[in-house]
Amino acid sequence: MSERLLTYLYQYGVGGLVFFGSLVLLWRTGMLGSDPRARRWWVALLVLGVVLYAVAQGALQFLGPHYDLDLGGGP
Amino acid sequence: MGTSLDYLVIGAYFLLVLGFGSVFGRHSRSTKDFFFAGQRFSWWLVGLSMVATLVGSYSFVKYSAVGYKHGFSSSLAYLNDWVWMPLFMFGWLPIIYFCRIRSIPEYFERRFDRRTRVAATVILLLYMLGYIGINFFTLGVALNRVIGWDVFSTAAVIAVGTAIYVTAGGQTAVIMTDLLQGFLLLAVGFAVLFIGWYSLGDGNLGHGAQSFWNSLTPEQRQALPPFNDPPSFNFVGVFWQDGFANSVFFYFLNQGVIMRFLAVRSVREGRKAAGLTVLVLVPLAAIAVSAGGWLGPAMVKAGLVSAGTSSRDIFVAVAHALTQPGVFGLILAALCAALMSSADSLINAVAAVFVNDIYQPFFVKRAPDRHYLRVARVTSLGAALVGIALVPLFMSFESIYRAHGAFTAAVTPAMVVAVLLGFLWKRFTPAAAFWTLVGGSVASVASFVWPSLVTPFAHGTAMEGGALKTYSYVRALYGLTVSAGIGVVVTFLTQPREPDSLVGLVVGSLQGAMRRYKGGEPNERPSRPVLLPAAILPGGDESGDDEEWGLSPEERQCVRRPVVRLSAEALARLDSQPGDLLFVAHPGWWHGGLRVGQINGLLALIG
Repeated sequence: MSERLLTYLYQYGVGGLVFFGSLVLLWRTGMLGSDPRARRWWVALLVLGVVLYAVAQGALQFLGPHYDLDLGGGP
Repeated sequence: MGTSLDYLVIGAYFLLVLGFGSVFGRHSRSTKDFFFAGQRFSWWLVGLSMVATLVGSYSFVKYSAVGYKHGFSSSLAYLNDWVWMPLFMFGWLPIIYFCRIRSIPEYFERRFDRRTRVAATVILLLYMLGYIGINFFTLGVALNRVIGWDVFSTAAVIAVGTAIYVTAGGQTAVIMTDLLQGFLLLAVGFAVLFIGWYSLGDGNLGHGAQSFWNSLTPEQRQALPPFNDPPSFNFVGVFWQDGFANSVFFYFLNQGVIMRFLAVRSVREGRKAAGLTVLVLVPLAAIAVSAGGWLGPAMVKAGLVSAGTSSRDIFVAVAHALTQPGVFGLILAALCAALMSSADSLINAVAAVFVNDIYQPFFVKRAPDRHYLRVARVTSLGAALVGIALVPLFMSFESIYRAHGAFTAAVTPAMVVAVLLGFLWKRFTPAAAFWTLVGGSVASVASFVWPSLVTPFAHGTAMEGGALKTYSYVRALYGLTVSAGIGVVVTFLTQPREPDSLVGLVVGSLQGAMRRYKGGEPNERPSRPVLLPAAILPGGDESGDDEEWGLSPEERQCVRRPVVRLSAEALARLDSQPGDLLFVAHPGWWHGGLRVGQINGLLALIG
């Protein structure tokens, strides 16, 4: 396993475990609220936020090192 | 480096902040106003003001230095907060809000016992006072390097300015000035980035961006640093230190941050503020503070910055190379803004902890609120003075500066474990909490003497540097594990508290917490806002308007609270019932809660 993949998996593996574990705990203890619509909305927003973080960091981590920009300018 | 115009800009900005703080902070009439701004602010205003708290006086210099050496991975310290958002937004925030917690140590007493509160108070005060001094010290050092000003005089002038508006205006002044300063910090960070691209591309942003990107090495383009090497900056250390210990401490235990989130008008607004902070503003702040360093390699390659520039000087060198006189002054003003906005929250927080956890419980238990307000103002001033007094100490003895860093690293994991187990685990006992704080901190201190204690947790990170430096990041994992171990073992050896006494203080008791907060059954039916044509009758019969409002003599005797007159149609729209909490605000969203009031208990429904 490459070091780049290892750090990424560690970040989202351990971090994701705490994140999703927290969501399950909060759901089961009723802390996410009593309104199902609001509950779903908040969970979706939080998960979307994590996905955006994962995509942005993943793009830099795995694609960034391999691609140079060519916008018609200098080096 | 600076010109007269730069100094003029810094001076004008300083006066602007003072004026801003004084104007918006003039309504602090109670301790609730002084510490929590009357719990009236909108989510967007509190969220935006958080930018300034996220960025400390050292952030631009520190993260630009890391960015210059390691590239985009300098942002990692900022980009781990998402891990804790569910627990903060839906676990911790409702607990402290509905329990009307005024300070973090107060939670420790209500959840555990008095001695745990005392231990938490001592740790928090040492932590915060030290940090106020460090903020003043680091800004003095930064400005000394840039424009040659004396470290102590610079720190003292800014400390006095900050103390003036915090003492006068409390939390409202902190929030409003931080709003202004947050915009400046982001604007300066992004201005440096775009002006850098513009200069590198000879007036073409796209070409500049290309030059910027292509000058970074493949390693510098990665989002995450190498796993465990070098010891001074590696992924696994930053992950546990910043992502776990520091992030939890910042959101769950930093009194200044907690007071900011308690200044919102409802838990829902607090959740929105937290969402805005973590999903939008934290990434922007990460870019703003690192941009100077990321530009470094391209600027050196283009000959705009000397190749011999050290990483510690890269932010100032890049900013100076890119900007004209006056604009450079604005960048220096941003450095001052970063200091003031971090120090103001800490000063206000020290006042809150002193009044709520030392003065009121141990010295003057029952006094009018205005007495505690006066003590809070004096304490704010005193906290700033202690911060100034620490500057020469940090200047003379680098070991003291390092010792505070070591102290912070030692106590953070223990506090983090105590609070997380405290609100997540009902079985967690008062004795376990106390020994987690004491034992966890002692174990962390021991690891400075015997660093090999950390080795089993180091993930292969090499032992390098002196006793205070080695394992400086990954020590957090050791501290968290040992503290959690102590907490679990002592819990099973001691008696837990009765479940009934924990209502509202642990997860799973939200309804009880809301019932206690409101003083009646919660009404969670959604209500729609109502536009009121008339003003509020401010407080019982003193105004002399009772007759006009249609109050009977009996009601006039009973009502000692603000009264809102509502039509039957408005009541139907609100879907409220007697006892509900009613918020009355100016209809313009842009007021952000500056003109808002809470009616505690809708007693009489006057149709």
